[in-house]
Amino acid sequence: MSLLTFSDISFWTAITAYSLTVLATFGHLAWKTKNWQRVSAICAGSGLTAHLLSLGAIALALERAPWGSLYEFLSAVSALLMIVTVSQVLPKPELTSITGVLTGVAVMLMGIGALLYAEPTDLQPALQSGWLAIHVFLAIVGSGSLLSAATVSFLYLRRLRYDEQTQKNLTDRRADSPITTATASAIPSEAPAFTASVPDHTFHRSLVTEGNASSVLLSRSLSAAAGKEAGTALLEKNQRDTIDPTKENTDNKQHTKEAVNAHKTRLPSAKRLDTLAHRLVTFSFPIWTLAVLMGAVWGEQAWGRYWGWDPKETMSFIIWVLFAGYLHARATRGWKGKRSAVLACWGGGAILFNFLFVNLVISGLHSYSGF
Amino acid sequence: MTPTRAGSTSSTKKDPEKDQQTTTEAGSGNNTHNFDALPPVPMKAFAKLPGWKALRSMRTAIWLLLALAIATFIPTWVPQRITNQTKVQEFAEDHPSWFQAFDRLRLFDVFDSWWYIGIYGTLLFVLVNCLVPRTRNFFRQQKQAFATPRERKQFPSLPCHVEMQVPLSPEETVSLLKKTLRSHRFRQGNLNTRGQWVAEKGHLREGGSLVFHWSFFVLLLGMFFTRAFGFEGQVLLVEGEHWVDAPVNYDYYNPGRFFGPEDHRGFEIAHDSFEVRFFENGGPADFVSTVRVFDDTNNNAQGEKSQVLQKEIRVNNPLDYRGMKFYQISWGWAIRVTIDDQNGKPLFDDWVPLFPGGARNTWTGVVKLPSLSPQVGMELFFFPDALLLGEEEAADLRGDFAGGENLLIRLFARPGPPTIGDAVLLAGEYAGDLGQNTLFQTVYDLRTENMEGPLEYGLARLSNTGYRFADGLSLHAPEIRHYSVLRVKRDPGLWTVLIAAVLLMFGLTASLYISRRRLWVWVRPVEPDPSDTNTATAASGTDTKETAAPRTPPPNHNSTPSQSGEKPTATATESTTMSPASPLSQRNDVLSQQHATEAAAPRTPQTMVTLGGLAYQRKDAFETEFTRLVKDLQAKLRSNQAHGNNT
Amino acid sequence: MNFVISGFRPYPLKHRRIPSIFRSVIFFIALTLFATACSTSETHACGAQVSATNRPLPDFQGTLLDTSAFDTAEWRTGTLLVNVWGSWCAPCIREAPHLAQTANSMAEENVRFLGVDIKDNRPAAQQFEERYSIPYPSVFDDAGAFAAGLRVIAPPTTFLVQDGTVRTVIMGETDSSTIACVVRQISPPPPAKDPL
Repeated sequence: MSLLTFSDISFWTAITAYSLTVLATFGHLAWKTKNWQRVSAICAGSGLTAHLLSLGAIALALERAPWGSLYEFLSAVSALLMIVTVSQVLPKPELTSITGVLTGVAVMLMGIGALLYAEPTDLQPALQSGWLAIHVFLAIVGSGSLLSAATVSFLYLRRLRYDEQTQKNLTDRRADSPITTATASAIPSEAPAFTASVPDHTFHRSLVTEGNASSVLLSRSLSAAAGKEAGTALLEKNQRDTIDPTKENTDNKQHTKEAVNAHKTRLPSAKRLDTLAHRLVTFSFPIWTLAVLMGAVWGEQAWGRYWGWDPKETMSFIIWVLFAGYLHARATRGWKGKRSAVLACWGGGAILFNFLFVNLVISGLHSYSGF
Repeated sequence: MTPTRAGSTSSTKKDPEKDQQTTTEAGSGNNTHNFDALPPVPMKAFAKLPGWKALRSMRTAIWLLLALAIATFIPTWVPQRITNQTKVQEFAEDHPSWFQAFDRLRLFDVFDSWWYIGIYGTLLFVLVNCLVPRTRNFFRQQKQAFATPRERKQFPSLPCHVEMQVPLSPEETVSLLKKTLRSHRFRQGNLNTRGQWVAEKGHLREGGSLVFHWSFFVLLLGMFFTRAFGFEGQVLLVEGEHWVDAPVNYDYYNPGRFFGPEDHRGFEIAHDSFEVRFFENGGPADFVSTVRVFDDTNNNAQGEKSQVLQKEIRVNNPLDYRGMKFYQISWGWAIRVTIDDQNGKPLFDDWVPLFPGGARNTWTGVVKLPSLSPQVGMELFFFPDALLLGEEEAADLRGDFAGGENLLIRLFARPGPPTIGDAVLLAGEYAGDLGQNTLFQTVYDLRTENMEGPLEYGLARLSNTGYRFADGLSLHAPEIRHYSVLRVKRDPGLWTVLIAAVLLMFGLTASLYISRRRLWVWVRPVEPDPSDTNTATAASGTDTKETAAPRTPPPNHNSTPSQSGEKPTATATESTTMSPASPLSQRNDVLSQQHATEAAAPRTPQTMVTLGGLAYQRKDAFETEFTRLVKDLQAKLRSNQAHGNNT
Repeated sequence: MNFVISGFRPYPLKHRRIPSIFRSVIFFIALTLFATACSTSETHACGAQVSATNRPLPDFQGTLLDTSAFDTAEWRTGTLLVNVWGSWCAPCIREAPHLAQTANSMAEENVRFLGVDIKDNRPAAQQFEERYSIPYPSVFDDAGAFAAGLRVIAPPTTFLVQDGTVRTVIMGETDSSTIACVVRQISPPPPAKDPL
């Protein structure tokens, strides 16, 4: 069996394992048993191993970096996506649903890659450079993690919408309650102990909503009412939040506590998602910048110009601008939260467009895929 | 990257000398951490103009970024002159009316259009508008003491805070604290009269952000240099050709505004050979142009030239000679074509470059004979490895085959790499007016609008079997060679751009990964009894007397008793509000218990230290850092105390 | 494979001669002003495409179109008109009859003519000379070396050389009257107007 055949087999093994991971994730979400999670972790881990072996086999067989054609590039991007997933998301039980979505995106990319399959071959002269390894590697890491950030931002928007709806439901139901439109500071400490009467289901959901206001409010009223265990447990964190309801919360302790509640919903809390997306962007934005800059250096060497508005260059600039916008928006009042997440989603769309449309439809100097 | 800097400057006004205002702001509880907003920018006359505020706002900047992204997206759909001139031309021919409208909107030169320049120009203007005050403040803060000490009641609102009683004099404590903080690489402000100061770490975050944003201007400056003083050209060199660096010898020439003909070096290049290798699947593996450079070693353009170097130019390996760079761009076949008249007198004998034709492995070129009357033009089709089918075979393959007249449709290129096999040159003859004075054309196209033809197709094989046309012209193709296309560039702004890129990268990394954190320190004498203000004043008085001797410089705050007489009452009442048992500060509990044991030590606690800390980013990491700092501080205090006891 | 050949573009004729200032950042603005000032002031009496200059005729040894040897040393005395052309160049074809006529008429005034044929092939160039009955010899400068020394930007360009010094440059297509004007400016015909 040649190395390239081995690579193909491992690639398909990886796709199968990832698909199983997605299924197991849904199983976990549905039944919430440890076993499902274990299955999904094993599948993701073994899939990733096979995936990396597949890429390694190409590298060994052709003695070059395994991202010479679009098929290989997409495979490498999804491998990176899975590395992020397995290392960052999978170990945290509260983020299970994200594992599913990210793995789904990876499977999708690999599927598209498989459709565009081209026998890995030697490279045309422009690609025969040490820069291939550096530039394309950075591009893979950058776009992979930016894409996962965009995915998380998208989930954040879903979650936000869901929260708004539940909040609305809650307030509709409690229209007579004095807390309807209240902020944390406006709640009198002797607020009626309404939470006790709220059905369990709603209670938990509203607890993990993004707006600190609602959770503060609930826990305050809880403790004010009876000093129940749950209430006191939450009190500590919520008092911190009371200090500054707008401040970004990255406290680990709080996460684990939130996680307890997050289990009860399908998605992690909006705040958690937002933080995760921001961290991913903070991680990958400089990498993307470096990828673009390295590409410019390579372009200078190979084509004699560092920037020529080639379609690929144009798209990577757009992606860069959108995520730069995201980073600025996230620090700007009025753009925090929803609007910045929308920007990140646009950025993710631009990345997908860059992968698929620009590579396949528009021809430019970067058209190097196998057909 | 700094939150709402531009937006908040105008809204949050704060006088550093009036702490009262800060306190009320913090007291409102809504935005406790906004206490160190920028000092107000003095209102200039133009600043009152409507819209000026928007030009300092981050929100505007985000909208502009969005607009920039959308504008940059247009070239994905509309062909651009700078990248694809021929597509633009095609568009113009296919949709003339749309072309007019699009062209008026400059959609074919987006990156040079007024609206694109407008977007990024405005963005840069907003950027400058935000950057200038930020930069000024950055440097001002370096000089000025970190302005705002905190009121005591604000300390508990900080995420990390600790209060301890120290059995040392306030002066000793101050010097010890300052030393410890310095060893933790905190930059510290001056002590104020109440024994308070501010320490900061991670100011390079702001510095990095500033560097990042300013580097765009450096980048643009570099690009501007290139546009102004650089030049770009292309040359097509047939194997064996000699070429001299001068404007007239370029096939494409685009000099910067300030690049004149006298700026060319005048050296000579001999293109000795070109080699192209192929993979088994037919894809190209390598292009190599071997060149020799001849130059006058005395740098005199008119002097005798001698060979200075020999070099293989490859795709990723350009030739760099005296600031001129030569890049391997593409290659092709050049065929030597000779045309004689009926008397055997030569009319044309030159290398004709051939360009890839529509089909695989077919190449096309042009020969023009403007000095004949009528003028003659020939369309050349070259097949490096041709298959000439018989009429019936061709008819089988192409249903509408209309007879043997047109040899072109009987010729097929053999698949595989374009190497020379059974090479065939087919020439279609046209006669009439070449239209060189009336129709736009380059030397590589033939405009046949005013010509008759093709009168006849002539087929010449490379092996010197020529073809004689009906009008007596005879065509031969004795030799074939490669040509190589080199892009020649002089880019004086390249280094500026590179430096800008490096700065940009460093700035970005610093601004994203360094977190800024601040400490507020308050050192003051302990009041034995909160109700008894007189004793407190007395205590502080004795302290200052005692510490006249130690080696530490006398702190600034050995001030008037009246001042220290006023304050303690205020703080004493507040100290009760901050309960050490509050759930917020479990860790602090431990600490204060430690003080409790220390308090039992022979020397009585003399000094109260309040330390509050805040990280603007990475708050979780700061908590551990803060704990480490406090532990270190306690260790130092303990050792200092032991030391003090021994002596 | 990616072929980017744009062929001959009409060369921009807008650059001015400004001393080499690449290294100077500080003087940039001053020089910008200087450059714009130049562009407005510099107009020659004989036409817009004519400019005065003062530089030596470059040294060049090569062959003429008829393969006989050529050396600039033999051309350094008296008044000389150098025309840079190519048989493939449309404006060169247009101006060729005028040049032939002017060369014939000025032969008595001791104005010599020299052609420089660039980037061409001998048969085509000889055909060109025959067709327009060019009376003067032409240097065959296939590599463009002589043209480079003359600082030609694009053919056709005509130079007036007085005793080995290039005095006037005519960029682009020219005609008899411009050439006559240029020659008069440098050397007014002495015998006709001198009464003594």
